[in-house]
Amino acid sequence: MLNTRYPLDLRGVSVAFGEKVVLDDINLPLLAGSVTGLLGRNGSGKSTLLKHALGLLPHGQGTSSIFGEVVAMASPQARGRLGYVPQTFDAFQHLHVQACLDLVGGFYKTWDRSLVNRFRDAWCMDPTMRVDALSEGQQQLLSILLAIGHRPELLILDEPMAALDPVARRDILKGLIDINVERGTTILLSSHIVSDVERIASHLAILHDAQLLYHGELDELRASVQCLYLQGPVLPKQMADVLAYRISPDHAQAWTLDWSQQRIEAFAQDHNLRVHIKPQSLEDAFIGMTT
Amino acid sequence: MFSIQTSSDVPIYLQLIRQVEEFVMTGVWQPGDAVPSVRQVAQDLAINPMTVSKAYARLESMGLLRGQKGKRMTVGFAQHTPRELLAPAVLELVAEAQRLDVTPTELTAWLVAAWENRGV
Repeated sequence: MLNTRYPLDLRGVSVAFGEKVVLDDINLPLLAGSVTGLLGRNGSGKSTLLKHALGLLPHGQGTSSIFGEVVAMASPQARGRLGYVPQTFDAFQHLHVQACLDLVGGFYKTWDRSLVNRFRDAWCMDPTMRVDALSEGQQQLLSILLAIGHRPELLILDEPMAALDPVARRDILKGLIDINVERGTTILLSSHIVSDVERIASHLAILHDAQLLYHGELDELRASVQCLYLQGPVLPKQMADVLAYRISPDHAQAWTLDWSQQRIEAFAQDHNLRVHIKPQSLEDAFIGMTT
Repeated sequence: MFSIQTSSDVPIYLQLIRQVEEFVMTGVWQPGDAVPSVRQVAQDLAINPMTVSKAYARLESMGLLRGQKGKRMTVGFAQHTPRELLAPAVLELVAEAQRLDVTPTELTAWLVAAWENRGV
C-alpha cells in the first residue's frame, strides 16, 4: 500500500556542493491535501530542495520519498502521481495552446482531457492562441495545465509567481486553489513573496542558510511567533529553543514560538538583559529571521 | 463579498470571522440565509480552503452560522438570552414608572398580577 498520509517526505536531507552546504538535515513531511509554501530568499536552497524532492539530484544524504517510495527508485505508478511545474516555461512557443495540450497529453495514458479543458476554460485560455503570444501569467497557467492533466496527487512548483505582475499572480493563486479544492491535490510551491504564500498556504516551511527555521501550520506561526529584542552588557552568543537568533553590535533579536511571559522574564533576568517584545506579522517574522 | 488583507496583524481566518459578524450585525446576512460555500470563498479570494473551514467552524461554535449535514451553512439566529431580549422593555418600563412616582413594590405587584392574568 502506498503511503498517502505524506505524499512527499524528506528525511534528513543534506546536500553540499563542494565545501558549500546547501541543505543541512532537512525534514519535511507534507500532509496530504495541504498547500505548503516553501519560503526562502534567493539562494537559500529552495530550488535544490525541490530538485531533491523530485529525484533530480543524485548526490546528498538522507531520503526524499514520494508516496512512500524513495524518489530515486520510485515506481512509475508513484511517479505518475507527481506533477512538476518548472520556474520558466519556454517550450512549444510556436504551437497553439490546444496543439500544445494535445501533444503533451499524448505522452500520458492517464491524461484527463475533460479536466484539462475545464480548467483551460475556467482560466480563460484561448485554445487557438499561439503560446508565444500568451502573457507571462497565461504561459505559467499553461505550464500548470500541462502538469495536472495526468491528475497528479502531488504538485510541486518552483517559484510559480516570480516575475509576474500582481494580476497574473492572483490568477495563478486562484488556479492553484481551484486544483487544491477540486482535487484535494497536495501542493508544494517555493516563493519569496510572503503575501502570496500567506493567502493560499495551509503550511509553511521557511528555509534559510540551508536549514529549515520553521515547518508547520501557517496560522500557528502567526499566532505564536514573537520577536524578543534584547539589550544588555553581554549579549548571549546563542540561544536554545528559538526559530532564529541574530546578534547586532548593540542588540540581539530572537524569534520564539510559544514562550510564556514568565519564561521570557526569567531568561532576561538570568542573562541580565532588557527585553522588549515586538509584535510580528508573518512578513516581519520572515524578513527578520532570514536577514 | 469578503475582502481580505495579507501582511496584516490579523490572520485571514479572523478577518473572515469579523466580516461575517459585521454582515450579520448590519443585516446584510439575514437569519436563515445560505452562506457561500467554503469552496466558493476559497476560490473567490484565492485563499486556502482550510482557512475558510476554520473561520466557519468558529462561527458555528459562536452560533452565528449553522451547519446541516450535506447542506450549505446558514446564518444562525442570534443567540440572545431572555434577559437580553427583555432588557430594553424592562428599562423603558422602569423609567416610565419612576417618572410617574410608582414605587418598585407597586410595580412588582402589578407585574405579578398581569402575569397571573388578574389585570393590573
